[in-house]
Parts: sequence; structure tokens; C-alpha cells
Amino acid sequence: MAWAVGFVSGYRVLPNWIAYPLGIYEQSRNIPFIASGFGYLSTICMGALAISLGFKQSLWEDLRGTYYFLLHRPISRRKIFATKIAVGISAILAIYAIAILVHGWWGATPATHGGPFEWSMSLVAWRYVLVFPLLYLGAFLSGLRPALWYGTRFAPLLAAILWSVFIANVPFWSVAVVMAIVGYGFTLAGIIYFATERDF
Amino acid sequence: MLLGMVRPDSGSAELLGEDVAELQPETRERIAYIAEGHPMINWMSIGEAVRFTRAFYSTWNNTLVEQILDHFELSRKQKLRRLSNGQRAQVSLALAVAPEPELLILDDPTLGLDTVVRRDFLESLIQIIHRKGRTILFSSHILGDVERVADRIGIMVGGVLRVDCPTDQFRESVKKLVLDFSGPAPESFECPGLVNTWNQGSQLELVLVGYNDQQRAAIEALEPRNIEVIDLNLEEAFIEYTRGRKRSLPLFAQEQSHHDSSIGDQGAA
Amino acid sequence: MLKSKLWQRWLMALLLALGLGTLWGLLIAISGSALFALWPSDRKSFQFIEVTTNGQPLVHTNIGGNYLNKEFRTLDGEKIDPDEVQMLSAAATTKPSLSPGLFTLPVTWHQRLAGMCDYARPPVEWVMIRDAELSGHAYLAGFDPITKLPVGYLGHAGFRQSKPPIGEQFDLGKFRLTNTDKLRFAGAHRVNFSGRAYPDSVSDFNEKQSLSVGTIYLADAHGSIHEINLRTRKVRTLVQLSGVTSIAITRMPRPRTSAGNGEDAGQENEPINGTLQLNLRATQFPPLNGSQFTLAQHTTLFVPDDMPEVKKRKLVHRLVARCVDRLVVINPFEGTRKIFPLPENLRNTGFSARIISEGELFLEVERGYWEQGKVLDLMLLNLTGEITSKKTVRLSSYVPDDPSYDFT
Repeated sequence: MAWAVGFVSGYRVLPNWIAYPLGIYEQSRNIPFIASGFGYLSTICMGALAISLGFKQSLWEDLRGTYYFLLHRPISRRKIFATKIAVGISAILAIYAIAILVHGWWGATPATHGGPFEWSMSLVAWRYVLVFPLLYLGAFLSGLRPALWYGTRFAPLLAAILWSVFIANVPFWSVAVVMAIVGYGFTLAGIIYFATERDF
Repeated sequence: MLLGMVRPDSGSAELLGEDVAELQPETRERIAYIAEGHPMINWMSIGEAVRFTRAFYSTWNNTLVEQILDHFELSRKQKLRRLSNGQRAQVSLALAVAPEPELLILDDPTLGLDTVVRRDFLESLIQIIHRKGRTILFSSHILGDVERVADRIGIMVGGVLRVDCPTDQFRESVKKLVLDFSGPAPESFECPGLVNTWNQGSQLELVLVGYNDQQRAAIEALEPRNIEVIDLNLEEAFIEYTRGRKRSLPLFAQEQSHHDSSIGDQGAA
Repeated sequence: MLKSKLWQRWLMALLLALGLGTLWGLLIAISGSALFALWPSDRKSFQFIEVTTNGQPLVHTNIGGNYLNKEFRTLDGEKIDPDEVQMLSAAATTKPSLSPGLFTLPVTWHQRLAGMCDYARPPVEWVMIRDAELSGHAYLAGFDPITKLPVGYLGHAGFRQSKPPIGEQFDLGKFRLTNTDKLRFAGAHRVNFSGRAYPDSVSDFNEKQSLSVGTIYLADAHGSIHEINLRTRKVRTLVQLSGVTSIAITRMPRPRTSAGNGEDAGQENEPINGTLQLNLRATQFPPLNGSQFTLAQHTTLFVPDDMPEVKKRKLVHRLVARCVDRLVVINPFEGTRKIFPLPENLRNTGFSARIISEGELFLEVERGYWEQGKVLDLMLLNLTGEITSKKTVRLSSYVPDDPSYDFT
């Protein structure tokens, strides 16, 4: 039964390049979410994804000229960018939520890792739900904001990364949420400003 | 700038009676735009691009899209990133005309296309113009294309609109005159509408705008042995006009004051 | 040309300042640490005090960051051959914790787990699991590393097949399972906080601190010191003390017999160093069906050091419990204890203690530490709570040109 559940949960059949970022690998001596590779790897992978997606939806479109395909449509720029951001953040959160649920499912399945597990352990990982959208928004703003050179162009992203470190490590959830909202507010205000005022 | 993507430092422009800096979505729905290079979202297939674009418009002529795609033998399943430049131009055209726009703005749409594809593209444009009363604002550096399509042209020199008149009027207005003298040609000549002069020894070449009796009288006063008036095609006229002095006589059609509100069945470039 | 309002300009200025500040901060930190690493290190040293089984303090100097490059000198600067001396291990003690501040941080999962192992054959991994309450309770859950299924649970009442009720769990009070609170634990093996034990890694095995394999000691919030034998899965309360702030296992020279014949005294059941090795040999871990556990290959690592037996004093293990006002040295095998009252000035400070003899402790109090060195107070404490000798030594982080130390 345990083997069957193990197979169903996928950790024995998933290729390593999927299993490893999810913290699901047989040799691990981990405790799901707490002392597993999940936190480190998901932060790296999802952080990279959030930043790449932010740039893809802003700077990449600038470089490829696809803004010209989009921005003359009969819809306000504000709506176009709001839609892009909503899609971007939803995609990031959905992917991350799936990763958490898969890892948690693996942790909750008996005979998979040989350690304690409670779903409340995943709270450590859920904290990053506040972080990744900020990284995405920081990257988006960096990509959208014109600048004379890339050093200053990346400044909003660097600011978002620094702020994210605080959000991830502040001990209280309530403080983290407030900090995240402040971060979102700043970056979104910047995005709206440049989206509506800059030349494309 | 006409579509509000670049803000003017100064001045203003209107499209369909609305300031271009404040174009409302309802007005944008009446305007189609094909950008230079035909940028599109490359990971989409043609079918996906059609569905994606369609979602923005309340009016959508799917039959027309199908006709254009069929005409150019394009499959809806083809990925945009795998299309040639010519095919991308064709897809762009299909997507642009599908919402039945009143005004179609094309920014150098034939740039980078080979001759055959370019001709095919232009013929399609002409058909679209004739099919329904539409205005096409067509910017191009290939004047042969403009001559083929445009009823009316505008020429900007140094950021200033110097010409805005029917294509034929422009072509007929710009004349090249070759004056033969028995002795050396005069060093200088001045008259209203003079664009350029070249002293070629016993010959004086003049480019004039709006060749008229007053200019003819001024030229005859030089007592040339012979006066040859040469008609120019659009490209030649454009070249002679734009490389001339900036004080070249502006050319605006008589109906200039009200033409933008009464754009009819015509292409403009 | 971008049109912007004042607040928009401020917003972007703030974002840019934060971003550029981060960039510069990173650059400075990276270049600073790189420069520090490149600094000529020949004279860099790390000094600390060691105490011989004869009660003589020595300054141990590691030079150039190389732990093999070491020397021992007496406090008078006389060089000592390290092969000629036998050192005592120190028991670290903590000062009484401060009363709670304005607010208390929530207990995170990282502060709720501690892994340990019984090193049985096959080994069982035990995880202490604390609840999330500010004043919390904890129990041990054992897992079979092969089947990865739970094998049972331990509370202060002993082994159970199910999770112990709260009344049977260890009352940890405000203590959390972290490295800062680790001095509530003492045992044969390192307790791996916020993670699981490493039964396939002998490097975690701290032979010098072991009383017996698979046994850990836990001081709860009420001063009860529980002896938890993970192998036999038995739990007993070793001693009940008031105001325990920390516990530690250390070794002392085995007491001489009263006959004065030079023989070490002691009971038959009291392990001395070397016994542990015999215990391990009796319980070698064979490879488990070709799995990753290869403990048998590592047992040779437990062979004691090469010091000639004739020069060695026999050492016996003791549990040192630090209370607010006293140190209690417990012989866990006989249940006897020696109490060393602390002078007033030591009651609110942390220090390390070494047992010189049954009636005398060597205390080491750190008064200051900085990059260039530290100041230590070294003193001897007797059973009446009297400081019989005291010296202050200043240790350097650089090898001094003249190795005669600065004493007061």
C-alpha cells in the first residue's frame, strides 16, 4: 500500500529535475518544508521564474516591438497592463501553489520520508506567496522603466529583492503582509505611471 | 505618435476628430494599425492570434479574415514565429482589416518584403480600399508603392508637414526645367516656388513647385535659348522636392481645412 | 517626455535609492569579505584556554587558520609539548534568561524540531516535536529509516505506540528547540535542531561527551533532568533541581582511591573513556541490505587517540547542571552529586566549567570579545563557593611577537 501511495504521489517516478526542486527525492533526510531542499530550491526556481516573467512581459515586449501589436487596441493601457500583471502573478502563484501541494502531499503520505509532518509546516513556504509577486513586479517595473543604462534600470528589481528578504524573514505574518502590501503599492504605482506616461 | 504611443513634445494631431493623445477605446476600435516589421506575439499560431485579436473588438469580420488567409494560402495552425516576413505582413493585414476599421494606419508595411510579395500585398490593399470606403494612411520609403496605392500624399521634411495634397497634384506641381543659354548660364536665379537650381555651364536646371505663368515670365526674362519642361514621376518629384531648400513652397490641397473630417474612399501616404 | 507629479518623482527616487543602496551594499560586502579573505594570514590566530587533567591552564594557539598548526603555552609563556598533556573538556553554562520583553516572537517550526538517533541496529531516528505554544511541551517520535514508518513515541512516562497526551510530554516552558537553547540538552550525540538526525554519519558522534550510546539528557522547565535512553526506550527522571539554566556532559579525572596507591577509584558500572569504544564494537552496524547505511565502515574512527595509555589519567563522565546560584556535578551512574555554590558575581553570567577534582572546578568567564582578541577571567571554585585563585588573561587574534601573555 505504501509503495502504491508512493507511486501515486509520484516521488519514485518523477524525473530528478522535477523531483529535486519539489524537495522530493529518496535520498533526502528531510522534514518537508522545514529541513528539506524545497525552501531553497523553490526560492531559487520560483524567484528566477518571477523575475524572468516580469522581464518577459515588459522588457522583452519592448525589445521585440510587440507593444505595437498590443497598445493600439481599443482598450486602455491601464487595463492592458493590469491584465498582464494579473496573468503573471496568477501564473506564478498557481505554479508555486502546485509545488507546495505536491511537496505537502508527498510529506503527508506515509512511508515516503520517515519524519514528522503536519500541514502547518507548509506555512514557511506559503510566506513566499508574498515574496514572488513582489519580485515579479520589481522585474516588471525594471523592464518597463526607461533608463539610460542597465545599472539604474535594475534598481527597482534590486529594491524589490531587498524588500523581499525582509518580508521572508520578518517573524510576524501580519508585519510581512503589511510590508508586502507596501512593496506592491510602490511597484504598482511605478508600473502604472510608466505604463500610462512613457513613450513606446 | 498618431496612436498615442509617443507623446508629442509640442503641437497636436487629430484622428477621426479626436486628439491623438487622448484617443478613447471607442475611437481606437475604428482605427487599425500595422506597425513596421509586423510585430506579433510569436509563440501564437495564426489561429490563436486571430482569436486573441478578435477579443478586443466588438466588430469582427471573420469571413474577411478567412478570405485573406486563404488568398495568401496561410494555415491557421502555422506558428507566427515560423512565418516569413511576407507571410507576417499578410497575417497583419488580415488582423488589421477584420474589425472593419474606418482608418487603417500602415507604418512602412512593405519594408523588407521581396518584390513579388510586396506587389501582392499592395494589390490586396487596393482591393481593400475599393471594397469599402476606407482611408489608409500609408507611410513608406518606397515611393513606387505609394504611387501605386495613394490618392493623397503628405510629405514631412524635418518634422514639418510640407506637402498634403492629392498624389497627382503633387506630381504635376513639381517640374524640372532645363534652360539652354547661348553663353554661360546665370549664376543665380530667384523666383517664388523655386526648389533648387543647378548651373551646368550653358545650362541651368531648375526645380519648381506649382509651375505657373509668373514663374514662366521670370524664366523667360533670363532669355534662354530653349526651355524644356520635364514631367517627373512621384519618386523623382519627391527626391527633387525634399532635397531642395527648406523654404520650398508648401503644397496643400484646396480642401485641406476640412479634408480630415471627410475622408472618403482613398489611400493616403 | 515623461510628465510626472511630485509624489511620482518621490516614489521613483525612493525605489531607485533603495535599489542602488542594495547594489552598493552588496558590492561593499562582497569586496570587503574578499579583501578580508585575501589579507595575509600568517599571523592570524585563534587562541583559547585548555586545562590539563592536572588543573594547569594552557593557552592553545591555532595559527593561520590551520587547526593542525597549533601550539600550547603555559600562562607564563613556556611552550608545552601537546603530546605530553591530557586535556579536560569544558561544560558550557548559560546565565539565567532575561524576563520576557515587550513582545515574544512566535514559535516557528524551525524551533519545534530536534533530530537524534539511537545508533541501534538498525538505527531508529527520533525527532523531538515541540508544540507551537509559547510555553510548550514536546515528545519524541521515532521513525524507522528503512520503512520510513513511525515506530513509536516517547514522553516522560516512557514509550507509547501513540502520541503522548500533553500530561506525558516534556514541559519545555519557553525553551525552544534551537541552537540558542541547546544547553537544555546533553547527550551522546549531537542534537540536530530543526532537522533529523544523521544515522549514517559518524561525524555527528561526539565521543568525548558521551555517557552511553543512545542516551540523552533533557532539563525541563521545572528543573527535572530526564534521562532518555533511545535504545531501551526508557525514560527516567535523574534528578530534580530548582532553577536549572543549562546542563552539559563533561569528563573529570577519575578520583584516586583513598588508600593512596595511585589507583583510580570508581564503580564497575561507571564507564570510563575507552569503554565507549568497546560498546560500539559490540554493536557494529552492518550494511543494511546494500542501502546507504555504512556505519560498519566507520567504526574504526572510534578508536581513541594515540596517546600512550601509561600517561593517561582515566577520565569519567559527569553531568554538570548549572542552576542560578550553583553548579551541580552529578554522577548519573551512582546518583551522587556535588554542589558548588556560585559567588554573587557569577550568578548572572555564563561561563564554562571544568572539573579538576571532586572538590574543585576551573571556571572560565569571557568578559569581552572583539576581532583582535578577548579577555578571560580564569578562576578556581571550591565546594564552599569560594574563589581560591583568579587570573585575567588577554588573548589575541594575532600571534603576539612576544608570547608572554598579558596577565593581571
